Amino acid sequence: MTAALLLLLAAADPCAVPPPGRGAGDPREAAIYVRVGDSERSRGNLGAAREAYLAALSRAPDSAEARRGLEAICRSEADPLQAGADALEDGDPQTALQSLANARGRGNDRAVDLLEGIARYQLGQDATAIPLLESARSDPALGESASFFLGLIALRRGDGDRASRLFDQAGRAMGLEDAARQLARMAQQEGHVVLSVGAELVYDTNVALRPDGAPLTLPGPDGSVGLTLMGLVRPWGTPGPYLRVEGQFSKQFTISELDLIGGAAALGWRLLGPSGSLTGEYAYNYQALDGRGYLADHRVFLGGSLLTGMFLWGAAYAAHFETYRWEALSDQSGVRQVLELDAALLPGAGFRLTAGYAGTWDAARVDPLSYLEHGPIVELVWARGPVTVGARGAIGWRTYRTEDPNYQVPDSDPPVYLRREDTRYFATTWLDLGLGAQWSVRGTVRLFRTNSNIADINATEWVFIGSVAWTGSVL
Amino acid sequence: MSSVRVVVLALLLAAEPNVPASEAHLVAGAEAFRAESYEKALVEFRVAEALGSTEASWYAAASLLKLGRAEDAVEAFVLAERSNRAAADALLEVYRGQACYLAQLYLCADRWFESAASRAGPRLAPQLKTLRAEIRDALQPAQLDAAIDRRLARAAELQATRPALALAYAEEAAGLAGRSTSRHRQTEAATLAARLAAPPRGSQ
Repeated sequence: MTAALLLLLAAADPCAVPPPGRGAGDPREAAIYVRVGDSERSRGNLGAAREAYLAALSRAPDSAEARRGLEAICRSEADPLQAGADALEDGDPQTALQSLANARGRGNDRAVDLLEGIARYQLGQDATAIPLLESARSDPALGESASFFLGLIALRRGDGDRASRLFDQAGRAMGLEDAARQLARMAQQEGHVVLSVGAELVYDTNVALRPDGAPLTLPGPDGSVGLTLMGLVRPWGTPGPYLRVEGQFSKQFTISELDLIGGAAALGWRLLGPSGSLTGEYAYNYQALDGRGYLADHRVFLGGSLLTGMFLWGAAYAAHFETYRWEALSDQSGVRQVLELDAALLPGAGFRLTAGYAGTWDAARVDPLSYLEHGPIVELVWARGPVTVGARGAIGWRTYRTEDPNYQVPDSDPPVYLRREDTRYFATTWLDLGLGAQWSVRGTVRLFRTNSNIADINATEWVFIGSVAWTGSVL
Repeated sequence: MSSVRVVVLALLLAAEPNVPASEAHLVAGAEAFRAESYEKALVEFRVAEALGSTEASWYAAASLLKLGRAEDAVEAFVLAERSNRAAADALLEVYRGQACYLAQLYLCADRWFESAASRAGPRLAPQLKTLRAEIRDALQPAQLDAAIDRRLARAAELQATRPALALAYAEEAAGLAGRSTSRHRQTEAATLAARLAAPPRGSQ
């Protein structure tokens, strides 16, 4: 009688677990049904998943996996809000919307607003998402989460100021703190007036690029402290015009001839689209070494990027109109043009792998100092929460335009001069740690090596840098 | 799935005691499909598929269509075609066309309706003709560029997680771009479709 009643109840309730002890079938077949059930459940096909779990249980009544799956299905069907949350967690906003459509009017509409707002945001439907998230924000229990996603929308729309405020609110919520902090840092850099101050401590093993095997009396290793100030004004945010002003000061511990004071001002315009950006800029940069004017540089820059699927395509061009102020270096003055093309793969999980090729054409005042340099670049960056780790490597093959009268082939008569050909290797790795929305610390190690056909130029330089920076939006 | 097919499958199963295990599930799925129990049908076809039946993949796709999951059905048809191109018949092509139509992949739908029409009987052929006329009307030249943008955006969104479905959208965008007077984003669409159509690394 009891068994008959149980069977009757099972027939009436599609979620009822079949009573155990009806005789086992093929457990391997049951396992296949469970796999099918799991697969259909992950796709949001709850009815089919329920059928699969029930079929599994009819073959293996003791299958814990099938029972768990069936119970989860029935919970979801009984609670469409939970089903929507589950679908969002599985990265399926479309299915989430389908579930949430049945969730209203059950006394928890603010939570439905939040989840639907998140789903709409993920589907790129920002205009629909905003009123839903604003509605959710009115509930104190949901306010931080809603603020977080409103901040993401503001950031996507280029309103860094609003994004920053929203992320500050979101940062109070447990579980959102890391993401909110990192996004707040980004948003801080999107304000109308942004200030940045950086201080660094540097140790350089070969500050004057002493050749291999040179006497130790020549300048060798040295340390320095540096300070960089930057101000950025964007009256209409991004996209739009901007003005950037920078100041730079560096004091060497021993070789005071390399103490640097520099300043730069730049005027530019940045265009920003849903999948790309374009920046055009004019900048003037002036540097003094040991208190004497050293280099004046007028720079014109054009660069952009385009995101297509998992790839970020980049191009940048700069023309430097350089004037060296010291008489001994004046022949190096001229026009230096740099072009870099690269493609970055964004496979997810915070990784970005970039490969590119760069070329430089330096037309100096005299031909022996003019050169063409080109070579590949590779960069790998990983960011997770407040941590960013990166490594970059580049090779540059540099060929000078003509023979240099400073480098004579030994014992040649009449004299024969060498044309300089260098292979330059660059490697950099860094670790950046965000401390709250505005502070960050960074450790950097750089390696630079030159191999030349003129042995006197071969040199190796290691640079170790520890820095701390504050970046904040003041308007 | 026709009742004749179910009967034939059942007879084959009864006559041959050593038939593969997948056949029993294929028959169970076909019976459920005929009884319009599409969720049960889908499960049985998926189990048959897991036991090695490539034919079952086509019927699973048809079941998804009947469950109103047009995008899932389009994706399942692409995967079924990859595993066993020869298993398709005129009726499955009609289902595939319907799935494409409901997912607003009109060129895809037209292609499968056209293919099915060449083999369809006197009842189905006029219906397919009507559907193809509706598709022609839906493809207004003035709206092509926006339609291409939408399909490419969807393809980009799906390419990492559901490349087979992304392929369907990219092929649709490439086909629409070929009809656009400005050849709107044609190269981009064709390149994406070619990349998604390439067999996944390690599948050879």
